[in-house]
Amino acid sequence: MSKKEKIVDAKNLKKIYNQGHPNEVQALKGIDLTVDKGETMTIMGPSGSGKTTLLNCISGIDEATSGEIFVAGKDLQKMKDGEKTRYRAKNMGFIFQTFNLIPVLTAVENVEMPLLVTGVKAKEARERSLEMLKIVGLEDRAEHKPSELSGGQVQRVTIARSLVHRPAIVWADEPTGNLDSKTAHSVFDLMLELNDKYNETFVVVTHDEEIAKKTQRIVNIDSGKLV
Amino acid sequence: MTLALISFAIFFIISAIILVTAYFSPIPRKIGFRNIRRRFGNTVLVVIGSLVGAALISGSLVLSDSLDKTFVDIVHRMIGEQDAEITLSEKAYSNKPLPYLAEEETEEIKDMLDIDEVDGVFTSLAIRTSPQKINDEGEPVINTYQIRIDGVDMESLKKFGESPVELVDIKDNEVLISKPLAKKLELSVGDTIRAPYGPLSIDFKVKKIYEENGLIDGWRIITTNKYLTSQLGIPKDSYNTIVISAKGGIEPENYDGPEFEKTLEKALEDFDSDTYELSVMEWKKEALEGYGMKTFVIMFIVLSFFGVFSGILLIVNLYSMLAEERKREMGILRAIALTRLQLTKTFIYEGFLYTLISSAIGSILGVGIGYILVHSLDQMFAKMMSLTGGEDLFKLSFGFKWQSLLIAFSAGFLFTIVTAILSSYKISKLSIVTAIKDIKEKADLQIGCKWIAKTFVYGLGLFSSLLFTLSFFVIRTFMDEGRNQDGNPLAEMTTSNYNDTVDLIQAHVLYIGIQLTLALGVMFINRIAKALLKKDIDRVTVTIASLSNIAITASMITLDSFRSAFMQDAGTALFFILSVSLVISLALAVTYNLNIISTILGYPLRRIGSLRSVVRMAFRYPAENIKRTGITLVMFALIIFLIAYVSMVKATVDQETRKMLLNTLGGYDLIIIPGPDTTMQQTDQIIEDLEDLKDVDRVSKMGQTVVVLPQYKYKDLEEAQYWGDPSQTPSHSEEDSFRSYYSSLPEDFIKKARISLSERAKGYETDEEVWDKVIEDSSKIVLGDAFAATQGFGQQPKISVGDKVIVSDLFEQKDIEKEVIGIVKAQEGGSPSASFSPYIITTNKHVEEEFDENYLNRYSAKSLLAAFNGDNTIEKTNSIKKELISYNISMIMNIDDMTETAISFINSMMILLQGFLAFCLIVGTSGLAIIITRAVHERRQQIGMMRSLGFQRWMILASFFIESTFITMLGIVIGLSTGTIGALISFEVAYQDQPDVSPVFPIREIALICLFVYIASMLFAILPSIKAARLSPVEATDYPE
Ligand SMILES: Nc1ncnc2c1ncn2[C@@H]1O[C@H](COP(=O)(O)OP(=O)(O)OP(=O)(O)O)[C@@H](O)[C@H]1O
Ligand SMILES: [Mg+2]
Repeated sequence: MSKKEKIVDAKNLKKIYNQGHPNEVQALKGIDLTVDKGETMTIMGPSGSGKTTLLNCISGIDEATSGEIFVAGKDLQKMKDGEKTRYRAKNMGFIFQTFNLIPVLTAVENVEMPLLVTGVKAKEARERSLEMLKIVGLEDRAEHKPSELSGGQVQRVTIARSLVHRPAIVWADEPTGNLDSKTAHSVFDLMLELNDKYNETFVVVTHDEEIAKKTQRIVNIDSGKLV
Repeated sequence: MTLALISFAIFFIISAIILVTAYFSPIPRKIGFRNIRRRFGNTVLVVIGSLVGAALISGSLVLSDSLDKTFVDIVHRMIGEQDAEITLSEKAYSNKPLPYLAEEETEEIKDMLDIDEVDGVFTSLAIRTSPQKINDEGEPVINTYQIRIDGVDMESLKKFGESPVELVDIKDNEVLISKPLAKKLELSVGDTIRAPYGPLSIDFKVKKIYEENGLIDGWRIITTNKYLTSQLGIPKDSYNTIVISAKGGIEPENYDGPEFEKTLEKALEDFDSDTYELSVMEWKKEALEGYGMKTFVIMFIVLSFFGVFSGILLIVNLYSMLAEERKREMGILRAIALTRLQLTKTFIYEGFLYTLISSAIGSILGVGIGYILVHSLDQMFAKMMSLTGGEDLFKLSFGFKWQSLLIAFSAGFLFTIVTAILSSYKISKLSIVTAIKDIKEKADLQIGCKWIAKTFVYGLGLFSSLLFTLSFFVIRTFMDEGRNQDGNPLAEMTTSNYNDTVDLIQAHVLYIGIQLTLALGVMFINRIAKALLKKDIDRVTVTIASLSNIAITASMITLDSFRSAFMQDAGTALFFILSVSLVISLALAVTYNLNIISTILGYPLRRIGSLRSVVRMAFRYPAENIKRTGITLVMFALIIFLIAYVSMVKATVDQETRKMLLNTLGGYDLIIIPGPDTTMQQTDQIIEDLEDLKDVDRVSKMGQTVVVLPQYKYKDLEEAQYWGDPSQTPSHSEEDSFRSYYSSLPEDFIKKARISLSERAKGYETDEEVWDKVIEDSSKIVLGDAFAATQGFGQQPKISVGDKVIVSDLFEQKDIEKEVIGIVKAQEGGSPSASFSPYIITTNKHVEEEFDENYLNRYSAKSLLAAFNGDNTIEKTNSIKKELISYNISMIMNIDDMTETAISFINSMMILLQGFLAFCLIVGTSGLAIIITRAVHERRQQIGMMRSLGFQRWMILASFFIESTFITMLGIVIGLSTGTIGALISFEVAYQDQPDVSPVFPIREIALICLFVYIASMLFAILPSIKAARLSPVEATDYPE
C-alpha cells in the first residue's frame, strides 16, 4: 500500500480558554495528530481531558490558540471563513455531544439540511434523506420534531444527518452515548460500512471500549496531552 | 385622576406583596436575582424592551395631554374669560347704518345678567372693518380683512371675569392691538391705523401691542367707546354688544350652567323691537364643539390607545420570550425540588426588578420624547404658517399631567408583572419533562369528567355571549320602558340624546357580543373536534372566524344604530374596538396560515439553489412560534393601521374640500366680497378698476336680491328657524308672505360650476340640461339646497321640482311665475363663503332684465368673481389686494387660499397625528429590533449548528433578513388593509349624505411611508442579524446556558 494521504495534520496544537483571565484553562497543551484519508479513529480519555476541544479545533469550527492544522493539505488557520464553511458543507459531517438537531425542523428536514446547503434539488434531497433515515431505522419518525423523539432517536437522526451528504470526514463526539449497546453497535457498524464503501474518514470520541476497538486506531488524551 | 390613583395603588400593593414574600422566600429570591447578573446582556435587552413599551405608553398619553393643553391654550389666547356674547343687529332693510342699544336697554340686559353664574359683563360697540396701515404721507400701505373694532366701556372691561386682563389706560384715538395683528399690518407703537367704515374713515393710534391674551387677539382692536361713538356720530355710551363671562375662570369645562343658558334665552325673549333683534353667540361652546376640537381631542385619545396597546403588546411579547427561554431551566429547577410557587416566584422577582427599572425610566423617557416631538412639530407649524402667510392660530403647547406619568408607569409595571406571573405560572404547571424537553403542550384529549366539565364551561360561555349578542334586539324595548318611568334618568333625556344613547348601547352590545361569540365559538368547536374527531382543526376554524369577523365588521356600517353610535363622540371608543378587532382578526388569519403564505412567498426564492435552506429557516421560526409572531404582527400592524387610516382621511378630506371649492368658484380664481355698506355704484367702480388690471381676465357679480313668495306665509311654516347672517333675515310677522332671495349668478359660472342637483324636473336627463335651461329661459329656476333642508339652517318652505312659484318684487309687487326645474344637492360643511348659499338661482342677466335699470338698487348683498389671465398666483392676488386697498373690502380670497384655509385646520391636526405616528413607528420598529435581538440570542446554539452544517455567514444574515422582511411585510399588509377598511367605514359614516365621495388612497405617500417603515425596521434588524452571522460554529457545542 502506498503512503497514505493525510487528511488532517495538526502540529503542536494548543488551546487556552479565557486566556489571561483568572479562570484560564489550558485545554490542549501541544498536540500533534494526523488522520489519514479513509481512516477510522477513536479519541479516548477521561471527562474534561480535552476531547471535544480537540475535535472542535481540528475540524475548524473553533480556533486553536496556537499550532498548525492542515486539512486536505490546506492551512486551516489561513482559510477565510467562507472557504472553510464551504469545505465544511461539502466534506464534513458533525455529531455533537449535546445539542444536535434544530428544534423547529422535523427529523427529515434536519437530515436534508446539509444537502440543501450544498444546493441539491429539494426532491432529491428529500429522497436521499428518507433513505438515510430508513438506514438508521427511523423512517416512521421522519415528520417528528426533535422534542418528540427519544434521546437515542435524536442521536440516530443526527448520525443520518452527518452521513447523508457523503462527507469525506465525519466528526463524531460520543455518537452512541445515548444508545443501548445493541443499537449502538449496529449504528456504529453502519458508519464503518460507509467508511468502507465511500472511503470516508471517521474521527470518533467515545468512552465505549468495544466500539473503540472496531476502529483502526485509538488515540488517548489526558489533561490536554496525547498519551 | 382616579384611574391614576387606582393604578398606582395597585402597583404599590403588588410591590409590597412581592417585597414581603421575597423577604421570606430566600431561595427563589436568590435564584431570581442571580439570573439578573448571570445574564447581563439578556437583562439589558429585556429592560430596554419593556422600557420602550413603557415609553410608548407614556409618550402616547403625554401627546394627548399636550393636545388637550394646546386647546386650552388656544382658548386662553383667543377667548379667555369670554363665554358668551349678546349682539344687537338690525333686522333687514332699516336704513340705520349701525344699530345700537339705548342706554336703558343696555342697563336692562346687564341687570338681567346679574346672576350667580356670571362673574363679568362688559359692553362694547363693535364694528367690522378692513383696517389699513397708514404711512407718514397718509397713504394706506397694507391692509387686512375682517377685523373687529370694539369701542368698550373700559371700566366694565377692567372687572371682567375672575382674572381680568390687565390693560393700560387709553384715551382719544388710542387703541390696543395684538402681536399677530401688528405683525400682519407691520405696526409698531405710535403707528396709525385707518378703519374705513361706510363713507367714514376712522384713524387710530397704536398705544400698546399685547400678546394674545384672551381678549385682544389677531382679529380684534380695543378702543374706547367714547372715541368710537364720537367718530361714528352716535351718542356716547351706545353699545351693540354685551360680552359675558361665566363663573369658573377660563377652563373650558366650566363655560356655562343651566341658569346661565336660561338667562341668555330670556334676554333674547324679553327684547322687543321692530327693527332690531338680539342674538347670542356662545363663543366658548362654539370654539370647543363647533370647531371640532373636542371631537379631535377624543379622537386623538382613542388613537393614543393604539400606542398604549402596542406598548403593552411589546412588553407581553418580551416576557413571554423570556419565560419561553427559561422553560428548560425551570423544568430542571422543578426536578431538583423547587415547588411550583417557588418557581413562579423566582421569575416574578426577576421580572420585578426589570420592570421597576424599565417602567420608571421608560415612562420618563416617553415624556421626554413627547416634549421633543411637540416642540419640533410646533416649530414645523410655525415655519409652515410663515411660508403660506397663514394665521398662526395653531400653536402647539407641551402639556403633561402627573396622572399620565403615573398611569404609564403603573400600566407598564402591571402588564409586565401580570405577564410574568401568567407565563411563569403556565410553565410551572407543565410537567417537568415537557418543560425540559420543550414539547408543545397538548390539550387534554381524554373524554372524561374533567373534559366534560371544562367543555361545559366553554359551552356556557358561548351560550351567554350568544344571549348577550341577541339582547341587541330587546334593548330598545327595555330602555323605552325605563324612559316611561318617572325619576328614571332615561326619562330626563331629550329625545335625541335618548336615541343616541340607545344607539350607542345597541352598537356596543352587538359588536362586542359578536366578537365574544366568535372567539368562544372557535374555542368550543376546536375542543370538541380535538376530542371527538381526534383532529386539530384550529387552522380552519380560526381562519373562517377571523375572515367572517372582518366581513361582519365591514357590514356593521349598514346598521343604523351603528352609524349613529359612530357619529357620536362617545362612539370613538367603538372605533378603537373595531380597529383592534380588525387588526387582530387579520393577524390571526395570517398567522394560522403562515405555512401556506410562506410557501407561496418563498416559491421564487426557493428557485435559487443556495437560498433553499436559508428560506426554510427564515420562514420556519415565525411559523413554529405563532403566538409570538401573532403578537408581533398585531403590535406592528396597529401602527401601520393608523398610518394608513390617517393618510387616507387626510387625502380624502383634502380632495373633497378641493372639489367642493372648485365647484364653488366655477372657473374663477378670486372671490371679492365688498364691505357690508358698499353701494352698488361702488361695486361697479370696483369692477371697473379690476377690469383695467392686466392680470384680470374677467370679473362677474354674484347677487342676492330680496324677493317675496306670496304663495307662502310665515305662519304656514312649521318650526321654522332662521339662521345665517341675521342682517339678511327679513323682518316679518306671521301674516307676511315668505321672503327669499334671487341668487343671481354669471352665466359662465353656472356653466362651469356644474353644481350638482339632488332633484331634476321631468324631461331633464342631466344636470347640464337643467342649468342650460336656466341660462336660456328666465322663467325656469333652480332652488338652493336650503329648500331641500327639513330643519336647521335657513329652512325654506317645502317646494318641489315641477312646482310653479310666484316670485314678487319687494318694492313693485310685480308677480312673475317661475317653474322650479331643479334643486341643488346639499353640500356637507356648507359653502366656504357666506355670500354664496344660493336660494332661488337664476342668472345676472335675467335679474337685470326683470328689474330694468333699477336693479342696481335692489341688490342686498353681492360678491365679485375674478378670473386671472393665465395661472393663479399669489403675486397676482396680492397686486389685486393692493389695488383695492382704499375700498372697504370685507374679504378677498383666492381659491387656492380658500382651500388651504379650509383644510389647514384638519391638515395641522393630521400633521400632529403623523408626528404621533412617527413616534409610534420609531418605538415600534425599535421594539421589533429588540425582539429580533432576543431571537438571535435565543437561537445562538442553533445558529452555531447551522454554521457547522455549512451555512455561510451571508446565509445566516439572509435568513434573518428574510425573516424580518417577512414579518415587517406581513405587518404592513395587515395594517394597510385593515386601515383601509377602517377608513372606508369612517368615510361611509362621515359622508353618509354624499354618495359621490370617492375615497382617496394616497398610494405614493403610503408607499413612501411603508418603504420608510421597512427600511427603518431593517436598519434596526441589521445589527442583531450581523451579530448572528458573526457567531462561530463552535457555539453549537456549547452546553446551553
Ligand atoms: N468554552 C469553554 N470555556 C472555558 N473552559 C472550557 C470551555 N470548553 C471546555 N472548557 C474546559 O476545557 C477542558 C476540556 O473540555 P472538553 O469539553 O474538551 O472535555 P471533554 O474531554 O470533551 O470531556 P467530556 O468527556 O466530559 O465531554 C475542560 O476542563 C473544560 O472545563
Ligand atoms: Mg466532550
